[in-house]
Amino acid sequence: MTVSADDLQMLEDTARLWVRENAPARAGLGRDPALGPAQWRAAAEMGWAAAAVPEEAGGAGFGFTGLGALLGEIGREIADMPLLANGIAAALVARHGSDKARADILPGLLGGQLRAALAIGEGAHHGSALATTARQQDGGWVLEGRKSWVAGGADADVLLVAARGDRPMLFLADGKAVKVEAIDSVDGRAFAHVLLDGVAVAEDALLVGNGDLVAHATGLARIGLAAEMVGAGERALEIIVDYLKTREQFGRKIGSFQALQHRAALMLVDLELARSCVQAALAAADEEREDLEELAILAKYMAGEAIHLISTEMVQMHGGIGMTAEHVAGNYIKWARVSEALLGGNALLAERYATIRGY
Amino acid sequence: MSDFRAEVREWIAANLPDSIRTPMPEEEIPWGGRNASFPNPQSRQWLEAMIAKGWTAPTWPAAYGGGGLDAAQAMILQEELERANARPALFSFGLWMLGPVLLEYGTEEQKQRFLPPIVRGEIRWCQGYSEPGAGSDLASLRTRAEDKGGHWLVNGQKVWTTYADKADWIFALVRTDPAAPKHQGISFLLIDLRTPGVSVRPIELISGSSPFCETFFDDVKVPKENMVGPLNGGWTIAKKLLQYERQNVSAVGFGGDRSVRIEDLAKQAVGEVDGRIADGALRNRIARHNLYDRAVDLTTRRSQIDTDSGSVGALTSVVKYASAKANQARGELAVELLGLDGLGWSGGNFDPRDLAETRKWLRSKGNSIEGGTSEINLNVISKRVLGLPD
Repeated sequence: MTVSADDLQMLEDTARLWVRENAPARAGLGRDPALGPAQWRAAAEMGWAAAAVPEEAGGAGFGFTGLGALLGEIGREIADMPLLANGIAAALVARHGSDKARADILPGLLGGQLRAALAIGEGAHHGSALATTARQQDGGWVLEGRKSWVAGGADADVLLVAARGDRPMLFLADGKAVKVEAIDSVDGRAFAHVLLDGVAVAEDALLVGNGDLVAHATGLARIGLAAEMVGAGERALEIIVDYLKTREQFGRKIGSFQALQHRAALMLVDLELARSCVQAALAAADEEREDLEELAILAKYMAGEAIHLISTEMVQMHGGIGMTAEHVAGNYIKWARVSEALLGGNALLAERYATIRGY
Repeated sequence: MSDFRAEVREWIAANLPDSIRTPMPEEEIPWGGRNASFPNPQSRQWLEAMIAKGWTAPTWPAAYGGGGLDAAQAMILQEELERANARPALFSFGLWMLGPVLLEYGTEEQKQRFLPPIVRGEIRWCQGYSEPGAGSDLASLRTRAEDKGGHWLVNGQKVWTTYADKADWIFALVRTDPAAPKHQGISFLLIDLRTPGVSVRPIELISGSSPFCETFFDDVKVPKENMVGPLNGGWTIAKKLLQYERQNVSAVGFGGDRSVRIEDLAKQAVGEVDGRIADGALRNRIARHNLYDRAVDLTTRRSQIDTDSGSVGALTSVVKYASAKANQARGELAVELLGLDGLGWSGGNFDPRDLAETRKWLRSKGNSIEGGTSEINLNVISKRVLGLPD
C-alpha cells in the first residue's frame, strides 16, 4: 500500500492551504477559541481520518505515508485536531478489530462522526510502563487504571485503551463509560486524564493480531506525533528565517550575521535528519515491518531533538517580542515541550532503543 | 516482487563470490587504475562481473558502459546489493565525482574517451582543487594554465590531492584569466599524471596515514581538448562537482569502519548486567549517539535518491555536516571508552584493534575539514538553502 509521489504532493498542498486557512497558528495564551468541531467535521469530510485505511476496508488508501503528510500539515500550524487519534484508531480497527467493531465503529471513525482518543500513556513520563489491568469477567473484560494526558480524551466517543491482561492488550472502550478529568495544559491543547474504574467491555472490544499490539499502537502513535513535530519544526524555522531576513539592527538585516546564519543552518540540519527518520518510519508502517518500534523511537527521538532546538531558538532569535504573548513563538515552544514529553521523552526513548538493540 | 528485483537478486546470487559478502578490510578496497592490485582475487572477479552489466555506474547510459538504469531500478539494485552484504565492486573518484560532471558538461568526444575507462576501473582519478593559499576560499586558486596555441602550459601547486600518488589522471581547477574577477577566470582541466613536469609528494597526517598528497606542476603541457566546459567557465562545474564530492565523502562514511560497535566497547569498559551496559548514564549516551548515527544514514540514503533522480540538492551540505559530526563523535566515544588503552601509538603492548581506534579517532578530525569544512557547509545551507542575506 503506497501512495505515489504526485498524489502525496497534491494531498500535502491541499492540506497546507486548508489548515492555514481554517486552523492557523495564533498568538495568545490558553485554548484557541477559534478551533472547534466545525473544523474537524470539514477535515473528516475530506476523508482525512480514512487516509491510512486501505480502500477495500472503506478507507482512502493513502497509507501511513499519506496520513503522515496530513499530520505534518496540522503540525505546521500546531492545530489541535484529533486526526492523529482518529487516523490511527481507524487503521488499527480496520486491521485488528472484531467483525462487530468493523461494522459498528469503523465507519464512524473513518467519517469523523465518532471521535477517537488513544489512551495509551500513563503517569508523568508516558513511558512504556503499563499499570492498567484487564481481567476476564462474564465472557468480557474489565479495565482498571488511569491514563494520563489523553489527547481529545474529554470529547472522545471511542477510546483505544492499552491494558495488561496475561499480555499487553488493546481494547475499544465507550467514551461514556469512562471518567475524564480535563487538563489545563501549558500549550492549551485539549488533554484529559482518563479514569477506568472497572469499565466492562465485551470480548469483541479486544483487538487481535500477531505480536504486541500495544507496542505496535504506541509505535504508530509515536510516528504520527513525530510527523506533526517535523511539520511544526519546519514552520517554526520558516518564521525564524523570515524574521532574520526582515529585522534590522546596526543598520543591517540580522540574518546577515554569520553567528545567526550558522545557528539557523544547524536547525535545518536537525530538521532534515528528523524528516528522514519520519519518512522511513512511515514507510515501515506501510510495509508492516518488524523493526517498526525501533524506527518509531528513532523518528520521535530525532523529531524531539529538532523541535527542542528550533522552538528554543524561535524565542531567542525573536528577542523581546518572542517573549510576549502577542507572538506565536510562545505557542510553538509550549506545543513542542508537550509533544516531546508525550509517549516518552528522549531519555526514555534512548533507553528503550538500547533495550531493543541488545545493550 | 518486481521482475527487475527478482532478476537482480538471482544475478547477485549467481555472481557474488563468498568472500565479497564479508566486511571489507582497507587493503582490499578496489580502487582500480593502471596499477590496480587485487590482494583478494575474488574482488577482481566481482568487479569484472559488475562491469559486464554496467552496474559499477548503474544510471549512466549504456553507450558509455553504464547500466542505463532509471532511478527506481538503481535503488532496487542498491537495496539488493545491501541485502546480499555485497561489497562495492569499485571505489572511484571518477565514478563519484568526475563522471557525473562529464555527463553534464563534457563534449561527446570527451564522454566517449573518458567515461568507459571509469566504468571499467581502468583509470584512477584524483582531484586537484585546493592549493596552499586556497582552502575554504577555493576560488582564489593560482595554478596557471597559459594558452600556448597548441596546448595549455600549467604551472602551480595543488594540495590535499587524495591518492595522487596512486592515481593516473587528475581533474584540476586552473586559472586561465588572471585579470578577471576570481570566480570568472577559472577553467576545468583534465591532466594525465604521467606528463613530464608533474610531481607528487604524500602528506603525513596526525593519524600517521597519508592518503593526501601535494601535487606540483612545472611547465606541464596539456592538450587543448582536455578542457571540460567553456574557457573561464570552470567555477560552475567546480561547484557542481563539490556537491557530488560532499555527498560521496559522507556516503562512504569517511572510510569509517562499522565492524566495531560502540556499544560493545562500552560493555568492555564498564561491564554488563544482564547483557546490558552496566552504567545507565553511559548506556543513554551510547543510544543517543547510535540514534543520531542512524538518522544520518537514512538522510544519506535520501540524498542519494535525489542524486539518482538527477538533482543534487539542499541535502548535500546537511549530510556532509552531520556525517562528519557523527563520525567524530564516534571517535571521541571510542577513545574515551578505551581510556589510556586508546591512546597508544604502536607496539606489542597495545591491542591492534585499540590502536586502530586511536588512528580512526585522529583521522576523523579531518572529516569536518575535507570536502568543504563544516563552517563552509553551514554557510551554504544558510545562504543557498535558507536564503539568508549577505
